[in-house]
Amino acid sequence: MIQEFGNRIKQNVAKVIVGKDDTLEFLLAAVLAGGHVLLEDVPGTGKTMLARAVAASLGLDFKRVQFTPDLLPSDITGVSVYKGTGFEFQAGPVFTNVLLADEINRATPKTQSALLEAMSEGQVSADGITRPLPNPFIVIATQNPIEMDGTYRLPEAQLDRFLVRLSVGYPDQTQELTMLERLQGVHPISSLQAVIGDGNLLEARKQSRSIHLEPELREYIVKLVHATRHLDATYLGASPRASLALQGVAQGLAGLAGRTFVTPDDVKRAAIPVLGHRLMLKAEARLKGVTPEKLVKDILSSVAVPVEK
Amino acid sequence: MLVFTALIASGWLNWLPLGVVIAAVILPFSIRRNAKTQLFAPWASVYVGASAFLMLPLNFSNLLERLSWMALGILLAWLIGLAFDGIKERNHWAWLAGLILLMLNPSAAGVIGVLGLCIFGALRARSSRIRVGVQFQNRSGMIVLAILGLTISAFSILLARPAGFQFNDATMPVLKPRTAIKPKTTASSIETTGSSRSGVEKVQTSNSGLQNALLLMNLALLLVMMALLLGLLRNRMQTPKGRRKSEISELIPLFGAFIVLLALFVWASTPPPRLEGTKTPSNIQGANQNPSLNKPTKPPEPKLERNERTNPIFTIFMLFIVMAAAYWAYRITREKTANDFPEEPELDSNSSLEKKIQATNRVREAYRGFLELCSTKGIRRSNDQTSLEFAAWVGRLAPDSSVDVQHLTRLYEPVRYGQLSDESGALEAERIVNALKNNFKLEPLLGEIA
Repeated sequence: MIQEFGNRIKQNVAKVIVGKDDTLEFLLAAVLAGGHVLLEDVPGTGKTMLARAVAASLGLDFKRVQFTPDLLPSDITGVSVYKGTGFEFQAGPVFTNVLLADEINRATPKTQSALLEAMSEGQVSADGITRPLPNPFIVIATQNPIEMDGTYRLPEAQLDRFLVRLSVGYPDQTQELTMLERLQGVHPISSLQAVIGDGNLLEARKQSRSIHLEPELREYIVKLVHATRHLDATYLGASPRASLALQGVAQGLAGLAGRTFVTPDDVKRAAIPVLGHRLMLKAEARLKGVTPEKLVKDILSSVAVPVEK
Repeated sequence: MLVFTALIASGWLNWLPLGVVIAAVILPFSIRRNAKTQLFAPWASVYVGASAFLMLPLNFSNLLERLSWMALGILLAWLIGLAFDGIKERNHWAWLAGLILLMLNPSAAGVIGVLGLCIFGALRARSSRIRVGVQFQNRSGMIVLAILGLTISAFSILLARPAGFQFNDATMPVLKPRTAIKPKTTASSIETTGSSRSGVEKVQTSNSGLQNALLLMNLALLLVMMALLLGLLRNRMQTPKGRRKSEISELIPLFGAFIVLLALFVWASTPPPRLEGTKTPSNIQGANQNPSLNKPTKPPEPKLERNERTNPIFTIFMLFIVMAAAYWAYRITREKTANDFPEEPELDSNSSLEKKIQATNRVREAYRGFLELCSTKGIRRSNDQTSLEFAAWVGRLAPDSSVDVQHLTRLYEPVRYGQLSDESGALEAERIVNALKNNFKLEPLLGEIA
């Protein structure tokens, strides 16, 4: 069922986004694992389009917030408004199934933090009242890593709440040609239909979590995550939440591949998207050109994979 | 485990020769492919190694010698472990730690160390498998080693020969300066105490630290050769008959080097002959001038005779016999059985669960056979490679077998990571591995790179 779920969405999204199968697969795996996704790339690579296409394909309630420096927390979570008889809570855009937080790093840290509770606990506390968010609740955020003027770096706590960080990347020449042909007339995003019925996502998530994970693979995951905490180049490694994320994404990838069990390849594939943004590099390491991706690759090549000897 | 530990403890109570014999009996049993008994194989190797080490009649006169012997002991156990492939990466360090304990204090601490090792090994070495000697595959490396070994050994033996070893009778060995025997030249110097050493003048010509170290190096090289030979022999036996010729080129120089090294070591370990003119007191001219010296006395016993029981050559020979016996036991049990778990299929074949377990074991064993086959071809999976990555790599090196390798990996993964197995999958996996054994061929250029 998970494979069918993935195939339907992939085919639907392919009407809008050409190529990017890997990115889409990771995004779906993260959605299956019940997590949130950070799309990070230079402008014009289709981050927002990808997020919109996935949201439309899922057939869930979708809202988009353009993050700007003057955005307030209450603009996201909601605000109580006096309406003659008393204060009434006006729910913000966060009360949706799929929230597209476009250019999230343009908002102030205070506003960014308004999403913390929503992302980790699926609820919003405002005016002393805690209100649950709809289920499922998925945040797909985008940010531009190049343009630093007028942006605020996401706090570590916020980054940790994103299950994966994905890069869309430029299309190759053939893909770009196909894109031009396809988008010559009306943009197909406006006509994109939902391909997943109500409740299908929740059912797929349930199945994804039941995908078999060998105890030795679980140990492998823990070893990978622990290895990130003893690196000279970082001042902060991956949290225990990263272990859960790695497990969930690996299960999602296995499910999308039509398997009922996770293989070490799933874990290795998931490692960079899951762990990369959780490694906080020291300044000197950054100056030396060390990247989190390289560190994760080094870890992957140093931790033994559980295979027959 | 308790029995084995008790055996180790018995070894420390000066029952070392018996211990080696017992270990020789245990080792073949340990090597039988039974999930429980195979755990003992590494420890049996440690025991044999440690026993052999303690049987060497050498003692430590200074820290340098102690450290040298310690290193040699570790090397010995490591090589034996490698030869039997009982060492897995995760308990490498346990071996070394235990061996260091043994060498530093061959008494209570040693027993505790080995006991700890046994427990650690039982807990950790859950899936260890015994594969003899597949670690040594580098052809040019072997030949270089043989030549280097011969050169160094000849040099070291020649250096050490003037002094040589002396062994005492004690169970615990003593390496002490050699006593060269020189004839008495004057009657006045004849001792009158009637002791066994009367009539003999002792001149100490001790080994230098360098000489001792070189001798140790010689012994270490002997052990390396032994392990290499075992590995090669095993590989040769596993190679189809029509293709055995290729390994002769490594076997002959290694075997030759081993024999020459052994001969050199035996020669060096033999006490030098008495110097010309050595006489007993009764034969010395003028000895009867003093009546008190005229009574018949026993010929002097300079105590240079080696205690045969603790002869290091004997020990090495025993060790070699033990390893050879273990190897042949392994061969026999392997040839007799269709798979590597002969005892386990006694389970009720009607039970689907048990059938599944059997199928799982067969697929995993078939995959291990494939890895072993690759290893004999010089292709070894690196620790960070997944089975799929390894299959892709092997596919590049052996394009003709790529499809089979991919298929085998697809059969293996559900079994290994998904607990999914069936009889047909097991049969298919075994068929593929058998086919690969006959057809596996590396691309000439890429094969060299591998």
